[in-house]
Amino acid sequence: MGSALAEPQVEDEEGRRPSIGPWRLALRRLLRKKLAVVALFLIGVFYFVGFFAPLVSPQDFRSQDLENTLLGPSFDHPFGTDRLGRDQLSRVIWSARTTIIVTVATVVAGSLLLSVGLGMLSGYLGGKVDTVIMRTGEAFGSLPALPMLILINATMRDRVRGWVDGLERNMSTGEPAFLVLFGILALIAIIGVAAWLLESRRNGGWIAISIVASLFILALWGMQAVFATPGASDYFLIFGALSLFFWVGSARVIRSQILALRETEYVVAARSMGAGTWRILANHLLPNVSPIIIVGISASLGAIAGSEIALTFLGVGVHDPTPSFGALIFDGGTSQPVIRNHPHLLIFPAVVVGLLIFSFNLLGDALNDVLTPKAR
Amino acid sequence: MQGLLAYTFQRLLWAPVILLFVSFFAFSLTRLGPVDAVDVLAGPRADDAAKERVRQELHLDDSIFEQYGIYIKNLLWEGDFGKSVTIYRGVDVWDIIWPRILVSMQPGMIALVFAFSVGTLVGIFAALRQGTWMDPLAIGSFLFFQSIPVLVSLPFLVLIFVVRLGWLPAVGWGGPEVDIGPQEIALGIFSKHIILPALVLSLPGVAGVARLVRATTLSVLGEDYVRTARAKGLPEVQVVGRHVVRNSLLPLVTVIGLSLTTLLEGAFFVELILGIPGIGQLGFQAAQSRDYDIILALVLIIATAFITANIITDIAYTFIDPRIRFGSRESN
Repeated sequence: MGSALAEPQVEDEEGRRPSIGPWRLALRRLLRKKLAVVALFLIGVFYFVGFFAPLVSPQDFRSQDLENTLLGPSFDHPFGTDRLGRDQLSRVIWSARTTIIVTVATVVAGSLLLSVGLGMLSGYLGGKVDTVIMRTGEAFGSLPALPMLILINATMRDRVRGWVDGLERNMSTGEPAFLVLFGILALIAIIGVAAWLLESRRNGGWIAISIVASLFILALWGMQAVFATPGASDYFLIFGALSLFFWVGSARVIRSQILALRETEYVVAARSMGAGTWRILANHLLPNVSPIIIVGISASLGAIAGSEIALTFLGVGVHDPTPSFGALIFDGGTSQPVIRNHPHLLIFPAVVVGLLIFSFNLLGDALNDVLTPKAR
Repeated sequence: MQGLLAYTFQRLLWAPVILLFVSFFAFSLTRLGPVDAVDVLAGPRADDAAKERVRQELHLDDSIFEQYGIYIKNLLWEGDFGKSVTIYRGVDVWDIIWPRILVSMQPGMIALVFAFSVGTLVGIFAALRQGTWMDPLAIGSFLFFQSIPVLVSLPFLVLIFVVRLGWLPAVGWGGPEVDIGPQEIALGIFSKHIILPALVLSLPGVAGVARLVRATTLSVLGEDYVRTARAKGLPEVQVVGRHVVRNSLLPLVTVIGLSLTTLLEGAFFVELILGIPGIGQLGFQAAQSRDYDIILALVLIIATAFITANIITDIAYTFIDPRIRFGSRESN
């Protein structure tokens, strides 16, 4: 069973390794853990359903049917209907979409860009860079995240909404927006080339970074259709605020690993042969910390999903009509008459959320066992 | 010890810097917020002159740095957190927050004690039963509770214990009243109202404590002195009680700080769902009605408490475990 499932995950295809690659080995180990496979399956179903929400959900999450409010589960409405007669199953499915957007965006922005980038830089460069990054991290890490997130979301919401609306307007009107885009790209190019020249042209790292940055901005641009959907500003705000708080832990772990790897023979050898900072970071260090990155991400997924739900529950996350588990649980679980008379409003979303976060944690534990050498 | 003193000193110096950074960050956020306090305070029919006067009083025309300076000065010299704008108009923020902190602490303390005592017992039990089915069962079942957010588990407990079984009182807060100055607060510790919040708040913490205790107990069980104790014929109870537990409980100090986070974040949902007049509920109300000075004060108080707790934990840990040297902290 292992080999058939492992096939698409194999990363090394240059044929240099006749034996089993480390990733494939890890995947085999993972698949041997039954609970982890169940968790992986549940997470897969959740992401599939959420990603294809427009196709999968039986009804529009907004369509009200005021004659059939607060119905219990039935054949037409497997999860029942809420107080406006909206199909609860569809709302759960669309809420999954919200969770997916927030988790993926936070993982990309917070875990991948911020924590990997800052952790590696901090560990490899050391000195002042290290001090600044780690002290900032310490400041964020010593803060209670939830009250800060509430504060950020409560105060910044209208502003971010204004920015996103403005962005959207400008992006669709064409000419001035195009100039702005062109300006930003030119600025990045100039900074990249200048940094490259200042670094005495030793390597193309800065050029590569500016190309990546330009591509990132172009990708954001290309996704304007996505961001033009209502509620996009809420997503922006939530994942931005969450990223601020979720990079610290894994950045620290990555940094300490880099500190150890920096002194290994192959890195010293690469440096003595004239490899630049970016080359060493990307080719020699990144592959060696990637297991830690994966463990860190999988461990934080549950917390990220939980935070979005918690913020929405407290009224400072995603706002109506955009569905979210936080809002569903708030509607179903905060007033006793509702709990007493219409428990289905609480049970279905709560069970889905509970299973999802439990699965995230089980998978995180399993990945930790599989990928951390110590724990094997 | 030299390194420890230097480290302690460094931490103590660093704490105010973090607090300044945090307070400025939080303060600028509140001043960026969408609601203009002037409109609320001056009333809907105020003319421009009255509004101008209020603006002057609140120093809203100054730069953000000057406003921040005034706020910090008032806070440090007079303990003045400002006044509530929307929820309790014109009442001192401190007078609103103080009684609520006392209310929130009650379930928090009980939950902390409960989580640590149950977690320790479960952890030791699991370690002693390592290799049997009871070990994964004990740890796994509490891991489940750790994974379930409070806002999911609490409504279920309400459904079961309050609505279906009727064992516990309906939502609310009560108990003997105590006068503490600005207002009277109820001591829920002496009533049934404490059970549900304390239970819910402690459940997520039990697993963490249990896992840590299990790991440390296992490592202590492998020590030579435990073998010696067994070899000289001590009864197992004494081996565990005297030689193992004492040494395996030391690292627990480190997780107290962590459990504070869990408790505090849980408090928001517990107080909201159960209608307990604590700081979590206040934070929710303040965020809803955009009473930013209350949130600001809450953030500052909580951040101060956290940073203090972290420092105490760190330092206590070095005193307890001499193997940890913070002089070489950069390389760990």
